[in-house]
Amino acid sequence: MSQTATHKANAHGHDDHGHHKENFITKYVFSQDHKMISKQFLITGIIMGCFGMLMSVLFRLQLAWPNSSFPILEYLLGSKWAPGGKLDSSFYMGLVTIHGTIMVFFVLTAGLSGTFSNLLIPLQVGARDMASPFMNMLSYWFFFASSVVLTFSVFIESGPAAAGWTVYPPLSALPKAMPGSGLGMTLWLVAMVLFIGSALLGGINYISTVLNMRTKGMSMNRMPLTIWAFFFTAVLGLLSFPVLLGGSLLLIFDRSFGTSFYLSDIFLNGEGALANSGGSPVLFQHLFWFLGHPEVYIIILPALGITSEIIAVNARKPIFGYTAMVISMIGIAFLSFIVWGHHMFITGMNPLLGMVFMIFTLIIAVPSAVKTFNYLATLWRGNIQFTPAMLFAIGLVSFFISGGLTGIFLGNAAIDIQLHDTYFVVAHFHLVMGCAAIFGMMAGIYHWYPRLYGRMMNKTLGYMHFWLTFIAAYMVFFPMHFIGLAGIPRRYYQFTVLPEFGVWDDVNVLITVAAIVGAFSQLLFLYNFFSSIFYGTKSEQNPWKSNTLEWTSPIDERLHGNWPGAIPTVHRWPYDYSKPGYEDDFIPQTVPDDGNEEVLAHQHTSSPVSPEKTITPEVVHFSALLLKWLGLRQS
Amino acid sequence: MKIKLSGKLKNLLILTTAFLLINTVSGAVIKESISGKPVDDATIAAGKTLFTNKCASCHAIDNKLIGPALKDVHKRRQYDWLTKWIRNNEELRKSGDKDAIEVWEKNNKAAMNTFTDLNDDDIASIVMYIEDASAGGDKPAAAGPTAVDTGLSAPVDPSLISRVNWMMILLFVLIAVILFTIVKIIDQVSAIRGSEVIKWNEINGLICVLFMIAGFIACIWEFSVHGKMVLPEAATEHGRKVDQMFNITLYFTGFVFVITEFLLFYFAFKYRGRKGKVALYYSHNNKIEAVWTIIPAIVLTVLVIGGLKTWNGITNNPERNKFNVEIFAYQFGWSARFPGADGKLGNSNWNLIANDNLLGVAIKEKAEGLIPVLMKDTADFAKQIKELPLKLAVLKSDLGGLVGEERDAQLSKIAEIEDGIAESDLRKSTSNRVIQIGRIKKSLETANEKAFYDNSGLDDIIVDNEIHIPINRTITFKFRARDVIHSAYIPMFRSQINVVPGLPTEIVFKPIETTKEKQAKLNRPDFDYYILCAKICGSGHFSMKMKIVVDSEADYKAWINKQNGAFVKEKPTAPVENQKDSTQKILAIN
Repeated sequence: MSQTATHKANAHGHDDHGHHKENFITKYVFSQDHKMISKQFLITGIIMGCFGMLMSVLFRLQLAWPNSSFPILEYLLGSKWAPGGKLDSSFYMGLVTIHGTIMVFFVLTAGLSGTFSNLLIPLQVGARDMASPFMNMLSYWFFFASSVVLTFSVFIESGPAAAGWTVYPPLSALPKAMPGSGLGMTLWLVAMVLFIGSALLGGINYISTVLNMRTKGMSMNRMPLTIWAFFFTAVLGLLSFPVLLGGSLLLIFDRSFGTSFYLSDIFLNGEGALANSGGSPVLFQHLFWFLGHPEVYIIILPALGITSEIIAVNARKPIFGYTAMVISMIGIAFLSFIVWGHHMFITGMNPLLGMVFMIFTLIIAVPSAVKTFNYLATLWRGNIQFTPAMLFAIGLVSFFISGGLTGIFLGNAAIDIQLHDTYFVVAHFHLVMGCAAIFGMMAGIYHWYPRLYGRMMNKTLGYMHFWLTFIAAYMVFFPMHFIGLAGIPRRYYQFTVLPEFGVWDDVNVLITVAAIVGAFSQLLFLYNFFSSIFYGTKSEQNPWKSNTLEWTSPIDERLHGNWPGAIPTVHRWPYDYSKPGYEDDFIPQTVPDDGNEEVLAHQHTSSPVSPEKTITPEVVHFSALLLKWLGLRQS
Repeated sequence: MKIKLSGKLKNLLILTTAFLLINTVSGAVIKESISGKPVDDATIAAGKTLFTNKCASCHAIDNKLIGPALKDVHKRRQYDWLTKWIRNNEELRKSGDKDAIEVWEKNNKAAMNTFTDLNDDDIASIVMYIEDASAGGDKPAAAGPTAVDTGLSAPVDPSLISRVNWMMILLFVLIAVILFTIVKIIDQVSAIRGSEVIKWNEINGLICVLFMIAGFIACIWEFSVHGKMVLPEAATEHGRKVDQMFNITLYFTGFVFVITEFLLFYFAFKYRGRKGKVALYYSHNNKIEAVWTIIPAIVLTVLVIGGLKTWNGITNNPERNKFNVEIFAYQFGWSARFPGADGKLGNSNWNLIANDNLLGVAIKEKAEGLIPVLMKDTADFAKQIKELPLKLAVLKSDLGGLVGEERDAQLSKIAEIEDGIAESDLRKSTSNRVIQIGRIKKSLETANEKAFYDNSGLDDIIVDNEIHIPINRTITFKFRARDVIHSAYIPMFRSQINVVPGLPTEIVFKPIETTKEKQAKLNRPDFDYYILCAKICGSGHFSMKMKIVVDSEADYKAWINKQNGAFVKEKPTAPVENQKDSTQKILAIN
């Protein structure tokens, strides 16, 4: 660690302290280069995503055709999990659980945040690498270990964890309450502990790099919005993941060491009265959701940051309201810590708490709305280039609107009584996470692919991928709102408990068919992604004509330290697109101010100035002051 | 040639023929169930009701649900064995019955609930019903595969399915090949020409606006078609307010949805990039930021205030505890307990749960009677621990003849014993029993005893499957869970609360429409109010339900007076009034 501390941001490149020989292992496996690590996160995330998607197709088959037998299921899964070609109800629960766990943590957190924070933070702030490349490498390998453990847990004899991705005790604490709560649950907990380790190691790195290793001229308010987003995401993770770790440890104790943190008053059929007394299952829920809520913002913030960047670049316009975007991120980040109880309105906790959480939850809708309006204003009067990345960014905004608005229903405790744990909730979180956030990831992949692999992904396939996925995703999740409004709970193996639920059988078929089409559309993406690595058109240095620093770094795998010579100095903010009076419709951050710049009431050009010298509007002034108070501003 | 038979042989022949004839004829005319009873429709119907109420949440005839499929179970098992198993499978397993243990192990060691209250006639009717259903008779309603005939009931020829599957795969492959070819052509022509063949900006911009139009049409379709399939009007007072809250929120969010989605796709189309076009360098406008921060804040404040009022009205109802009914959730069903003539719900504790006291009500005799049962259990466990080496030896010696899955299962069992898991499980169970015995003894001996074992529980009425409540009275449902977290969700009442082991919860509501009124209003004579489970609770999560019938005051009184106290044999002498404060004590006896 002391070695890296002596590396200043603008110091010599990696080669300087003795060129060491790279072999396959140090270059591709245990790499400490942030770009390689980001690829590792990406590919592992994609593979886990395929696995999670496969599971969703399997349980959708059960929901659409509960009467039919699929002999291939019995062939693949065996007669224990698919007797007679129909999924076993316990295994169904396991599929639902692992699908949720994989998608939330392994794809959307690691695959989105892990990939892009690692790739972009050093490149966009102008650093040679992360603050601690070694810890960064560890963060990937903890993630890999976690993925392996979780994947293996699906194939054990007693089945994977099956109490939902939220794994509430007592169900998840008692192996005799359901088979998946045996070894499967233990492995789930092991995987989560490893995952949390990965997240913390990464998060510390991201924060340190952003705060300490920005290049000359890169003040906080000249950072691209992606970096702001990754920064807040890392802060959220650092403060909230440890609470889940604590909650998981207590669950491990209850399961294995006879404690009663979460257990009390339990009589298990077939086992008898358990001795545990005094614990509260609601405690676990508090500990879980204290992470769980920030977790969903950990997922969406990077996606929103990526969208800000991609929309600006492709509309050839500055992102509208840069400062408002930053402040709304601060608002979201802060508020996300005090709304977790909205997942628990009907858990039996004190209704007064419900009132408190409701108020804060509806407040957090405001900054989210502001961001959406800013995206719309960025598109307005733009010169929109429809790259696949841009389409995915636009798709994200559409899903964010749809999913975010239904959050307003759920955040209202009185309405939540009716909608909690129904398909309405499933529709809501899939629209915001399963659609909006994943589209952010896709947008990022299509946009920064040239930076990752030096080649372009095929554009036509990208368009097809987008439109098929976009339409399929809406067809899958929009009808679910109505299924929820009909009072049908989630995590149901089949809709047979009441005869009137049978009217939704056709809708289930529609949803499943759309889901299968959506799943197959991802093959377009997978083919595009992997074949373009080897056969894609070689990319130019700055294919999207973007202003940010990552496009000034040559794409050469042999190059460590990102820039061959000195790290560039930054003279302006990253959003000078279509600035009047210039030949090009973009001005990279490294282009100096020639002194004749019209100061358009936005002190993002010229070097950072102390507050009194500028004639900035109050909002910018305030943000500058705030940043100074937070110790974030280099003055 | 005439065959001359001896006298004896002739008699034998006549007798045999007669015997066969009679049996064949009678077999054709009077069928017999394996219970020995003659098959008749009334018994089958009774059996169907019992099956639907008690078995259907975990069993179907044709396929495995939570428990195995019951088709032709009467051909696989003896009637005596079935009777013992159904009534108390735990006891049967403990007695060492090999078949019982095998069934239990094959079913992931998930124990079936016990039904000690079923008498011989009940069980005979259930079995008769299963026999009939297996032979193609009426299947249980709303518990097996789809109750509503969706036209999928006719089995499809599997070879046809196979052919269709292959054709679909071929179709996909062809489409993929065509797509790729198109892509390749486009790319190569563009490369040759040096410029884009297709104006992608124009096309994508156009598709954006087409998608928007199609999307809005689809929304309208959704609201008008699926929107009509949602829940009917709420049947409780607060439920109507919840729905009002929902509708107000829908108006606001719907308005925002239409405007923003429109602008999104319209801008994407209108400002699609074209040669020579320049974007407007417009980086911020703080005034408009203020506008679109403050307006949403105001709207949300309105929604918050409305929500707080509604929520407070629901959760802080001054009329709570005026009419209490306990609802008990367990894997996988519901039970209800009414206070009985004394108007008080008896106390309860999980340590008192037993086969003859499924809800653990505090009844002194039952508690005292439970202690020897538990002590026998501990003795059993001790015996089993002692016998483990013998069991291991038997398993090992049997191993030789087994192959495949059976061999794997046997190896697992061996590993379980060798790794010490079997022993530690038994020791844990023993320790649980010992602590339980200690707690019950303490509860019987301490000063709390009189307060806890007051006789308020003796006349409690326990009902499964269907409960009745009176209209226009504020009802408090008090919830208790037996094993894991369940969630009591009554969609038609707009009520939901988690049922948590160790944390008593409740809902307070006032029904304002009787079941009959609702059925008439909806023109659906089979419509009913149900409580469902809405928190994942295990493999049977999807089939927990209990019917709630809202009656007029008179009908309710008639119903409750027909019910027997669970622990007394006579009917209540006084009509049941539910006036007293029946806050029950769930004493922690530890």
